[in-house]
Order: sequence, then structure tokens, then C-alpha cells
Amino acid sequence: MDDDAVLVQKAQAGEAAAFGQLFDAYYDKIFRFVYFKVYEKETAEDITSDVFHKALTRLQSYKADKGVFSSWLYRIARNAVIDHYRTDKVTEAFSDTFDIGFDERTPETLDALADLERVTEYMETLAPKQREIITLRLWEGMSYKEIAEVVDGTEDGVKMAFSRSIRELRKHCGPLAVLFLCLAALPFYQLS
Amino acid sequence: MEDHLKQILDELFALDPTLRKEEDLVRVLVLEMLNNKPNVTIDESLRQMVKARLLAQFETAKTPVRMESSLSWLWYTAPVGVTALLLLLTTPQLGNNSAPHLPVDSSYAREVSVPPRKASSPSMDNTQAKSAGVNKESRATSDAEEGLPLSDMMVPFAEETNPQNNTIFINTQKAGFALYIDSVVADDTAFIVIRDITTSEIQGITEVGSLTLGTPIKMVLDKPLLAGFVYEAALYLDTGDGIFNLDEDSLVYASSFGVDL
Repeated sequence: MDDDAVLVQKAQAGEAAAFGQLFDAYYDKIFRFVYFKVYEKETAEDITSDVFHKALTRLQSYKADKGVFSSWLYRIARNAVIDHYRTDKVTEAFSDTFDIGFDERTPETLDALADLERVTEYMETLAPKQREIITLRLWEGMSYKEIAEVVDGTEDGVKMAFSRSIRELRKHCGPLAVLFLCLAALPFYQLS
Repeated sequence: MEDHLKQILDELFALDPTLRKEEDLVRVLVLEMLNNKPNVTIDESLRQMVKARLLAQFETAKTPVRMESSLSWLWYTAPVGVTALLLLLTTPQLGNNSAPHLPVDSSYAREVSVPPRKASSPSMDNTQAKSAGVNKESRATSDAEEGLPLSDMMVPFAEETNPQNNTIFINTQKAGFALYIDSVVADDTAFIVIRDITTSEIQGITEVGSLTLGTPIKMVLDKPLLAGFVYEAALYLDTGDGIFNLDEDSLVYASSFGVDL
């Protein structure tokens, strides 16, 4: 039994500290997941808080044999975001853009910001679902099985979607990738 | 990082061998994505505040400790129920209508229990309708079909019409945003909806998980309860999407309560 499963079992038995540990383990991840969908700090904070409130009230309904805790929590977050777009009269279509809000971020080096802008451009070329899979696989390090549970799909379907997304990125960002490949190789030529 | 990159590339090439022809470019692309994960800043004080609030809530309304099937209580209560039924059928005095009636607590006097049905709420305004995910026209139709507003319905024999025994027990409240429900039993994920009984205006909604034992709940309402007014606490079973929808979620129980002067 993994750590999460033990903590969930303790929390279901009434141990508040166990729920606190689950909160600590997942708050940042869920916040990032939500933020990449709503692109607004305050909204992401409200939704994240709501996600954990729902997790607390529904804790008894979680069954370990139906999937891992993390996927269950991400699924609540995903539904909360959909709910936000549905009920809060958000005019912009769900995840039409990928805007990670540069002005809300801590100052970084110009290079890092340029890299980030480029990654943002890459993400803009993808459909919302592809973007979600890329985010969960590359940035959150989730397995295909876990992602499938979050997006309510099959593991094979997620794998195919991921490989298609990389192909899309490769197609759209090909010239840039070639440029960066050349730049990466430049120091080698300068030295030799 | 290197291991993660290798694993991702291996999986990719296994899924789509044609990508291997461009291995270097794909490697640069994936590496760049991995290296440039946006560093979103977290408000630590807010995080601690949310945690403290949740843990306080955890302590006040401790959820049931058993992880049993939501219907497992039937195993324990069925023999008692059968015995009670046999007693009722075989003992004439128990069925005597002239038996003295106990005084009824006024706060429970308007409890109703109804079979699952689509919800209706006649005088809810447009804003509320939208926030509840419904439109006014569809509600008006169902009102016409069902004839009476929820607050006027009195359905006896809760056990017959509400076989899941989903219930809310709520006593007279104090004015303000806080509402204390003595006990909630919900067979599955459900929403508790608090309404002004005269205007049907929603005061607050909260979601509860499966609560097979009666569980006390504290709600913080969006609008305050006013002294002298009567409100209704309604229990809607969720259709499974985790979102309250007046049109789709099933109303299974409603109970009115007053607010102290």
C-alpha cells in the first residue's frame, strides 16, 4: 500500500493530521493544475480551496480500488474548473488560450522568460485536451494510467494523444527546434 | 531529469517509431518543455489558512469512520425492521388511531420527504437560476406539471417514499451566516440547499459525501438567515458529476426550520 493510501485510510478513520499531510502533498500540484486552466491567481486559489473542501466532504466516498487518490483529487479539480467556466459566466471559451500570466510571476532572468514565452507558444498550438495531457505527463510527472483516470479516458488513448501532441509540437515548432539544436551544438564547434 | 527524459522518449518511440527518425529534434523539444515548467508562485499564508480552516472543519464535523458499502446498514437494521413490522401487524393496540399523540416540535412540523424527482423552485430569480445551472423556462414547465411548490407538499410515511432514508434534521437557528444541521444522512454524494421558504431564494449550497451515519454539518451561507423568517433545507442527490444542477439532481428530502427572534 503506498503512502497516500495509508494516509487516506487514516483520514477516513477520522485522523485530521493524515488529511493535513494529504493537503500538504497535493496543494501545490492542484493549484498549478488549476492555474494552467484558469490563468488567474485569485481564481485558482479559490478553486483549489474548493477542491480540498470537496475532497474533505467526499472522503468517505473515495474507494481505493477505483483508482489512486491523486487521480481522484485531480478529477475533482478538473470538474471544479469546468464548473467555474459553466457557472461563473466566464465569457472566454474554456482553455482557448494558454496564458500563464507573466505579470503575476516572480522576476526571472531574461533568458528564462524567453524560454517560458517559447513554451507558451508551443502550448498555444495544441488543443485543450492535448495541453492537459502534456502538462500532466511532462510537468506533473504523472503516469499514463493516472492521467487516464483524471481525464476519464483509457491508458492507450492517453498514450496516443501524448504522442500525437508531441508530433504536433514537432510540426509547429520544427524550425525553432532545429535552431535550438544548432545553438546547443555551437559551444562544441567553438571548442573544437 | 535525464531518467525522466529517457523514459518519455523511449515510450514515444515505442508508440510512434517514425518519430525516431527525428530523435534529436524530439529530444530538444521534450527537454525544453521539461526544463521550462512554469514556476507558479504559491501564497504560503493563504495555503496555511486554507489548511487550518479545513482541519477545523474536519474536527467539527468528523465524517463517518467506517468504509462500508452505503447499503450495508440494511444488514444491521433489517431484522429490527421486520420484527417491528410483525409487532405492528399482530398487536391491535399499536395500530389504534385513538392512541394519544405526542406534541410535535414546531421546527420539525413541516418536514417533508418526497420520492426523487426533478427539482422545482417557482420564484427563483434569473441570477440564481443561472448559478444553479438551470433556466427559468424549464423550471416553469415542471412547476406546472407538479402543481404545488415544494414548501406546500406534505408527504407522509417517509420510509415508503424515501427508501434510502436520506434525511436532514435541523432545529431552529440563530440569525446570521452560520447554519448548524443536527444530522444528515445521504446515501451518496448530495447537496444541501438552503432556501427562503417564501421567496425560494437560495441562501447557500453545500456538498456532502456519502453519510451513512447521521452527521452534523455546519454551513456558512452566502446570504444570512433573518430572525423570524422560515427557511427550508433540501437534500438533492447528485447525478454523479459533482456539480449542483437544479434540473438534474434529485430532490429526496426537505425540512423547514425557523430562525429565533
